[in-house]
Amino acid sequence: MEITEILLFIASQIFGNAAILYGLIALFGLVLLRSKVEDIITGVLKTMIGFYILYVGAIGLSNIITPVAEAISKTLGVTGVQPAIWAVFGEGMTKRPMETAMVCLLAFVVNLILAALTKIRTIHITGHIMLIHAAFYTMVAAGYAFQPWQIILIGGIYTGFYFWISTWLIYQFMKGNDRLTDEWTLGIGDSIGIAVTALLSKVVGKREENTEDIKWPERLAWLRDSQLAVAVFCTIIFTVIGLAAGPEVISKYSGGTNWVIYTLLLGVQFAAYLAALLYGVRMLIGALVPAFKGISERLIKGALPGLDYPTMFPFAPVGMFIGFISNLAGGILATVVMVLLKSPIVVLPSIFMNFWTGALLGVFANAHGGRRAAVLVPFIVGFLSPFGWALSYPVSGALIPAHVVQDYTDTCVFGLIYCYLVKLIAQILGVPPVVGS
Amino acid sequence: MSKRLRIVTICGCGVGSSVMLKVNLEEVLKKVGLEADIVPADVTTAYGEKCDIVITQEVFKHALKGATYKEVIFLKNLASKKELEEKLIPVLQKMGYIQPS
Repeated sequence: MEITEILLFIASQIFGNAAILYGLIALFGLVLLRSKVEDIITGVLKTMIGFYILYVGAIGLSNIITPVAEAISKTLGVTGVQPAIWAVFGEGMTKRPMETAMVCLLAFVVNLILAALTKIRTIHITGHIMLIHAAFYTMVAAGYAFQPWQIILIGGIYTGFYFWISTWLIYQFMKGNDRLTDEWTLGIGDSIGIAVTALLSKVVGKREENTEDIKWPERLAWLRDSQLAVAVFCTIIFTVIGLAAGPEVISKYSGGTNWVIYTLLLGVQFAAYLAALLYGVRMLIGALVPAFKGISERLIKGALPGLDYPTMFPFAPVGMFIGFISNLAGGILATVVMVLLKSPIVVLPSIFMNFWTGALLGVFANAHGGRRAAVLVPFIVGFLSPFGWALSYPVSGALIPAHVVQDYTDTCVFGLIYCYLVKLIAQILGVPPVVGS
Repeated sequence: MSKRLRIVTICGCGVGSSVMLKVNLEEVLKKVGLEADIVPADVTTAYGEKCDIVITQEVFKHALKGATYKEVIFLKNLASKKELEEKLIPVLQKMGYIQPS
């Protein structure tokens, strides 16, 4: 074997193999944190097992979105898309896992460099959300015939800049508010949603009326389980779509199962594959999160970590619930309006992210504008966001065939700018779009 | 007492806060010289879980239905190592895993 052949083998068969690659990244992180040998072995193995589990979940999710999207196009003659960050992540992890991993790592490095060199010292360290963003930015660029290194460079630099600026932006609406905290910031995908919510809440709200003074019925607490909420609401929505499409379309997918029964179970299956995917993600990032945390703490003194959604929930448990319900209502209304206006792209309700984004916006709305803001503002944001996602869909590159959109409020701004930026870069470099996407 | 401690950390999805909590938990346990199996879980899959201690937030209290555990700790601030330490140490002393100081 010649040396180029050996290098090619290493590049394609070892680094090109996602399970091995993620195992190696875990190995690197664990060694960097000086873990014990037995912890390194279990950490690497768990990462690799996690990858295969999430793979199963990702394929399952995609197998449910396909018949639903086809049912919509057959009955309404329009393109139906499902907002689903985890399906976007699944697409990235199954189709372009190497680039996704590298975009994520490069983005982390870019974020660290920006935080080290400037006065804005916020760092996105929420491992799974970093990977979701990396998957989205990778897949958009993968819609053009770029070389893998070009995708990594474009995606990584932009994503790193995004991590840095979005964590800073969120902090501006957290500090100095006695109903929130200034000890950390959020590393999520909703900096725009938070900015709009905080500003709007000041206008429409009455801050003295705190949501936390409301007694919330304890019997509704089960809806705080986002996966159960997905099972309930997706069953209703998918059933309506499936029954409208009728047996001809559905029986193509249902196999031996009766088409009505199959339709009724789609929502429950969607929740099940989501649970499988999340279980895999948990194992995959188990070794990565300590590494991200340790590295940023050690390298950048006084850095403000960007943490996950639930870290804000204790500040307004009632507000989060109001936010979820009102954000979901806004999303459903957006779907109805798109159908009535005969929009060429119909965005289905997100449910899962209505829960997470909506709950978070409920907390921020209450902090800036009290009870009235918590009801009104997440609804407005929930209604407007799907229109931004609809705009992003036709320019989302390799995600187009999957009929999914990334359902963060930031997709409407940072994501959309990136989609057009990538298109522009492709035009300047003379890189053609990939056929079929 | 001789049995290895099993602690479950619960958050909404079991991928963000509960994993971060695991990292903090490992650091606190290391300080008192204890080792434990720490399992992050989400509110759905915590159902049927068996463990010694559950650590979560008040808002995810409903997830404890269907789980078997001896002690539960609710944190106000999932990211605070200080709060975790203040609440965990008395529980570990009560269960006999560490000596009262």
